[in-house]
Amino acid sequence: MMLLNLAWRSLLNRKTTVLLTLFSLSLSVLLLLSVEKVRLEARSSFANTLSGTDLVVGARTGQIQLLLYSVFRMGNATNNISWKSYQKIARHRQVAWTVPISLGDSHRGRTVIGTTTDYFRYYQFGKQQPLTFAQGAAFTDLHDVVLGARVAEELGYQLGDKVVVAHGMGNTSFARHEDQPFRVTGILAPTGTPVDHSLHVSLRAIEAIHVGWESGVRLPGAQGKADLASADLTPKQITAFLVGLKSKMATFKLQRAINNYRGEPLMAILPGVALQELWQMIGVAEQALLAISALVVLTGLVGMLSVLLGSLNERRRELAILRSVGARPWHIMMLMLLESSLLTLAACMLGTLSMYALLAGAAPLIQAELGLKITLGALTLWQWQLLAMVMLAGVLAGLLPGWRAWRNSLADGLSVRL
Amino acid sequence: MTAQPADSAIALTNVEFGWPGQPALLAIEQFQLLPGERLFLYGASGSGKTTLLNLLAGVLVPDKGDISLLGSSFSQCSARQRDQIRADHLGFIFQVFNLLPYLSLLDNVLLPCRFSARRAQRARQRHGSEEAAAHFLLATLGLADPTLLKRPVIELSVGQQQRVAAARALIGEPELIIADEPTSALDSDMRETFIELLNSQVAQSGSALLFVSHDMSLATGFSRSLSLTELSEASRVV
Repeated sequence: MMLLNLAWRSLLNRKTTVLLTLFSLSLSVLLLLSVEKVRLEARSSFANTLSGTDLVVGARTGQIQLLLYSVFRMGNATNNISWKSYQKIARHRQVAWTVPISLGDSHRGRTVIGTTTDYFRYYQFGKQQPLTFAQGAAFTDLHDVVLGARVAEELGYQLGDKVVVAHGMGNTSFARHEDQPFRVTGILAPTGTPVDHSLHVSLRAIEAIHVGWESGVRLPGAQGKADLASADLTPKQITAFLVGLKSKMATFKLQRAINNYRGEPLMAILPGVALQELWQMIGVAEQALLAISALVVLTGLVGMLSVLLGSLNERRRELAILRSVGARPWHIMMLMLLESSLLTLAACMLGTLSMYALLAGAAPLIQAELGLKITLGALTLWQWQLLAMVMLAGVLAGLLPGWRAWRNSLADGLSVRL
Repeated sequence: MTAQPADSAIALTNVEFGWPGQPALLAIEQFQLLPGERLFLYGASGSGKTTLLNLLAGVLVPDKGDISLLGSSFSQCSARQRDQIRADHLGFIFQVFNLLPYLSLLDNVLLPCRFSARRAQRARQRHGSEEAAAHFLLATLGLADPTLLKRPVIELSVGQQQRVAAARALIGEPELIIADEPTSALDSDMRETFIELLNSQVAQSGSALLFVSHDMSLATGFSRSLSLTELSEASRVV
């Protein structure tokens, strides 16, 4: 207790260097904990992208690729599937519902999805949360569009605004379906998933805007909306569809049946499994991030070590005085260990506190920018373990100056001349 | 091994010491300090004063011979036991910078009581509490002013600092006080006052005093004075 008091007073006496060391060590602890926190949130947010869906069906391709374009709306589908095949599977007796997805068009870089109103009924994210409308309602008319929350926010669209869809993906598409503008009828509530970044129209609308575009560009003489009356707007093909089953028991049976479908090469994936697999690929980056923050902590500890070692020389007098009043060499060693332990403990506490302060302050920003919902909870077991490892490393770091001081105090005895 | 009379504070027999690779710095055939005796030890710089003090403190071990403090022979003690003897029975006053800058004046005086249960107990026996003992010693050394006690020790004058160091050496009544040039940083009239105060306090507590200095003019008021050069044969050889 007395040594603790001495160590504490001695640290206070060297405020400037000690505070700087504490600051850098706290920062590194803050970084370590925050990276871990964001990693956890990212993982759970990732796993929450899609729920309630038993199978995702598309043309035969890699399971991650299918997941990427159907759920994350990233990349392009290599092949579509025929409307006939979709109809056949949708009518299967085990199938409770299906949500078709047709991709290929965009609006200012955001994906436009052709689907049915079942999308708003059956699509679920997070812990089986359905989509809800912040304003308006689902599309009813051919040229109605429902916007994801972020699309409306970023582009400043209101209900009733006109939206022109571009052919193909990308921001600078020259082929725009200008002859058939859409009207905003609904805006979805934020979900923190790719839904927020999508525009939703009916499958018939996708067909409609491509009337007269059969060759990929607008044909001369095509008259836009005027041609639609005579056109058959039944979709001929879609990109993928989500399937909900009556009983989970049938999942594997139906998956096998779809994979062996004779009409065309199809593929059905379990979204949970595919998400897991995708996360494992991304996981390498997260490991790297963790490794880097561990290195930052190490840098902080080395900084502390150099400060403690550097102070030893100017403290020889102090240690000689302690020896003269009866301190044993192990007292001197303990003093050093206590100093490094106190510093590390303070840094761990300060780092943890500032992590909470930072997260509380930045949560709205992270939610808005990354769609990541940060919840402030107790530290996880792993975070406690990380802190314990930092603590252990801090105490061990004190061994070196402790040993040096112990050796100095034996060599110097009571006689350090200034 | 020579049996030492238990009634000497310090006894050196045939002690030799030299740093490795160098000729012997000290060679003392016989030296004794009696309990309660106040000895002025004259030593010019480089005569091995500091080495002698480290030997007496048990921090250094002689190459030959035996040192015993209060009847216990260092050559039979482990480093641990020597540390214990130093903590319990020895008080030190150095030249300058005796105090820990981050402790209060009172805490500086109380330091020996933190490391030695024996000195803490003796302070309590005599004065009721360790703090009371510290206040008593500070008062007799002319540091009773309560505003002084609250000031950081680095703001004290050198003379005041040395008196705090004296109070620290005296607390818990150790049997032996070793003072290493404690007055060299003081001006001349402060010197005499300090030595008078120290002598009277040491006399009161019945401790033995070994006062080492290179200034012969301070030798008055001690019960005996001795030159380290006379004591150590090694210096005569050099």
